Amino acid sequence: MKGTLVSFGFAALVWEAFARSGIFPAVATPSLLAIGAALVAMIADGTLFVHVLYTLYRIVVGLALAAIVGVPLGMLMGRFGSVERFVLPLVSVLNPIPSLAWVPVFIMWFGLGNTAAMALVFYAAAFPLILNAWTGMRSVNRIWLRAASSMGADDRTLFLKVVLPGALPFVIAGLRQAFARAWIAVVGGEMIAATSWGLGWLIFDSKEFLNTDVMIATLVAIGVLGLVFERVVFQLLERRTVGRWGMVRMAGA
Amino acid sequence: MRVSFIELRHLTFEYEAAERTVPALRDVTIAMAESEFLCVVGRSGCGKTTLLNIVAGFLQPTKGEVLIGGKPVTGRGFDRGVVFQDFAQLFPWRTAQRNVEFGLEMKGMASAERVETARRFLALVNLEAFAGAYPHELSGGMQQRVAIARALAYNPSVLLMDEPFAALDALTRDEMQKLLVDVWSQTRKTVIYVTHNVAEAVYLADRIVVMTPHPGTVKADVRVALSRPRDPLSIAFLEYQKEVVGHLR
Amino acid sequence: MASALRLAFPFVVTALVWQAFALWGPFPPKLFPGVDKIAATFVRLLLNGVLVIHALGTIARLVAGFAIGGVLGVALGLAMGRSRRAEELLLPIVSVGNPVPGLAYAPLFVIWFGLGNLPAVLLVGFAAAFPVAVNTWTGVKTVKEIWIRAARSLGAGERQLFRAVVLPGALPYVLTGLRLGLARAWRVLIAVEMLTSVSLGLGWLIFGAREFLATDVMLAGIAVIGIVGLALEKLVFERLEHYTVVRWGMLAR
Repeated sequence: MKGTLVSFGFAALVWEAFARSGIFPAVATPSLLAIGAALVAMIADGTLFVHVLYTLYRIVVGLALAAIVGVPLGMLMGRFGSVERFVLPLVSVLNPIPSLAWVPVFIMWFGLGNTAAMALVFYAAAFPLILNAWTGMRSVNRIWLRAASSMGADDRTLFLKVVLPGALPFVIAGLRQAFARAWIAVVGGEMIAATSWGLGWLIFDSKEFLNTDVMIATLVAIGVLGLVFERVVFQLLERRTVGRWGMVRMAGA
Repeated sequence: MRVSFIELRHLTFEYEAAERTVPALRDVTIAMAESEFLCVVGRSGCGKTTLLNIVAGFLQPTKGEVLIGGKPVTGRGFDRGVVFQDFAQLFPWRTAQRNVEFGLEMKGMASAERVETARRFLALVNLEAFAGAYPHELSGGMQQRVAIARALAYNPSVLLMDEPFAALDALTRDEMQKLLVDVWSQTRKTVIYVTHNVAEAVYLADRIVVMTPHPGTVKADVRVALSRPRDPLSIAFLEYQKEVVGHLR
Repeated sequence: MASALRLAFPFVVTALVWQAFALWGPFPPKLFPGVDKIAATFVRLLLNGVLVIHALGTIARLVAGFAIGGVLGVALGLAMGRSRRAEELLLPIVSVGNPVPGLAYAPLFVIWFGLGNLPAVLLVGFAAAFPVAVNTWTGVKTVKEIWIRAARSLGAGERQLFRAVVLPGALPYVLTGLRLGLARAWRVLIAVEMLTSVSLGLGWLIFGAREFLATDVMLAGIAVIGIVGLALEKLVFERLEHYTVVRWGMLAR
C-alpha cells in the first residue's frame, strides 16, 4: 500500500512539474489542483455519477446480449463439429477487425447515440465469449463425463452438472476479455458516435471547450473504474468459483 | 446350471486402425457369482481395460453381450460403479461430500437422506473429517478413497475398478488395498478389478482371470482359496503368485 | 479442393444472407449495399490505388507507433525489473494505466499535438507501451528468481548475470508483451485515425465516407482492415507465438 502511495506521489510530482513547465500552454496542462477540483466538482454535483451510469448501462446491455448469443454459440461449436466448421472461419476473419472500425457503419445503420454504442459493445464482446466458450467445451475432461454417465446421468444432467462447471474457467476468462474489449468499444463509441452522456462523450465534449481539467479527471475516473472491475469483480468471481475449486492457479498482482 | 450374477458372453471387440481391423478382444466368456471379487490380470495391451469399459457400458462390443442379473447392459445406468486410475475423475467443483452425493442425486434421493448416506460412505473410507474439502485439497490416496465412496454410495450391482491404485506410492497402495478388502467385506459387492500387478491380484481376489494380448483372450482362471486377511509373505501366497506369473509367460 | 470449398461455405452462406437482407431488408441500398456493390467498389478502389495508399498510411503509422511503444515499453520493463526503486515508483502507475483504453487519451493528445500524424503515432506508441512494459517486467522478475541463484553459485557477476541470464531468459515474456502491444496498437490505430483526422489512413477513409453516405466505401475499407488484420494474425502473431511456444513450452502463460 505504501508503495502505491509513493508511486502515485511520484507521478503527481512529475505531472505537476510538466504542467508548470510551459511546454504546452497552461490551458492544455492543468495543474493537479485544477484536476482534483474538477473531479470533486463532478462527483459533488452528480454529473460524474450520471455519466458513469450511462457508460456502464451500455456495457452491461451489450455484454449481456453478447453473452446470451456468444456463450451458447461457442458451446454449440464445441459440441457439434458442423457448427464449428461453419462458425470458426467467420469468427477468425472478423476477430482481427478492431470493433471501432465499425463505428461509421453502425452510425449509418443505427444513427448516432445509444444503439450504435451498444451494438459496438455487443460486437466487441461477442468474440472472446464465443472463442472461450468453445475452448471451454473442448477442455471438459472426458473422464468426468464417463464417471457421471456411469452414475446414471442423462444428457441434460451431463450438460448442466458436468459440462457447465467444467468449462467455467474458460468462460470466466472469456468474460474478462469481453469486458476489456467492451470497455474500449464503449469509450471509443461514445467519443466517435457522439452519444449524449457517457464517459467517452465527456472526454470528447471537454475537448471542444478545452476543459482539459475535466478531461483528465474523467481519464482518472475511467482508470479507477477499470481497475475496480478487474480487481474486485472479476477476481472475486474467479476466487469464489474456479479458484476455490483449484481449477485455475490464482495469479498474484 | 446355476444362474450367474454377471455373465460376459463371447465378448469380441475390434476397432479400425490405419489399414486394418485390430481385434482387441476375442471370444471372452466369464461368469461371476454375486459378491465375488474378480481380478483381471495381464500385460498392457491384453485388452483388460477394454473389457472393463465394455462391462461399464462405455464401449459396445463387436460381438457378444454382458448380462448383469440376467439383463443386458445398456450404455448408461445405475447398476455399475466405476473407479478409474486417474485422480481427476472427481469433479473439482464439488466437495468430497457432494462428489459422493452425485450418484444419489441421479437416483432422485431426497436431500437429507442423500447427505446422510454420503456421510456414511465417506466414513466407510475413513474420510468423514474431510467431507467439506475440495478434491485439489486432498492427497492422491484420499482422492481415490472418495472415488471409491462415490462409486459405492448409490448401491450399484457391481463395482468396476481400473488399476485404481497404480498411480499411488507403494505405502499408500498397501493401505488402500487393505481398506478395499475391508470395504468389500462390509458391503459384499461384486467386484471386477483390473490390474497388471500380480501380488495385488493375489491379495485382493477370490478369482484371478489371466488374459494374454493380441488378441485379448482368457488364458487361465485361478481360484484363490486363501482366507482374508492374507499374508503376502506366506508360502501359500507366493505359490499362487508363481502360478499366476507362470500363466502370464 | 474439397477442403477449400468447405472453408468457403460459411462465407458463401453469409454473402447470400447479406444479399437477401440488402434486397428485401428495411435499409435503403445506399445504407446497406449488396455484396455486388461492395465488391465492385472494392475492386474500383483497389485498382485506382485508393485502398492501397490508405492501407500503407495505416501500416506506416502502425510500424512507427509500435517502434516507439516497443522500445519505450521494453526499456521501462527492464528498468522496473532490474531496480527495486524503479519498480516501486513505476509499477503501480503502469498497472493502473494498462486497462485504460488508449483511445481515451486521444483528445488529450489532440489538444497537445494538434491533429494529424503526430498525435496518432504518439498515441499508438503510448498505448502499446503498457502491455510491453508489464510483460517485460514479468519476464525479468521471473528469470531473476529461477536462474540467478544457479548463475551466482557459478560465480557470475551482476552485469554478466543480466546479459547472459536475465535477458535471454526474459525474452519469451518480452516477445509475448510485444505481441500484445502490437495487437493493442492495431486496435487503437484505426480508431485514432478517425479521431485525429490524419490525411491518409484506413480509419480516416471509413470515417470520411460518412460525409457522402458511402456505406459501400466503408465496407470496402473494413474488408481491407480485415485483410491487413488477418495478415498480421497469420504472418506476425502466429509466427511469434509459435516461435515463443516452441522455445519455452510451458513457462510463460
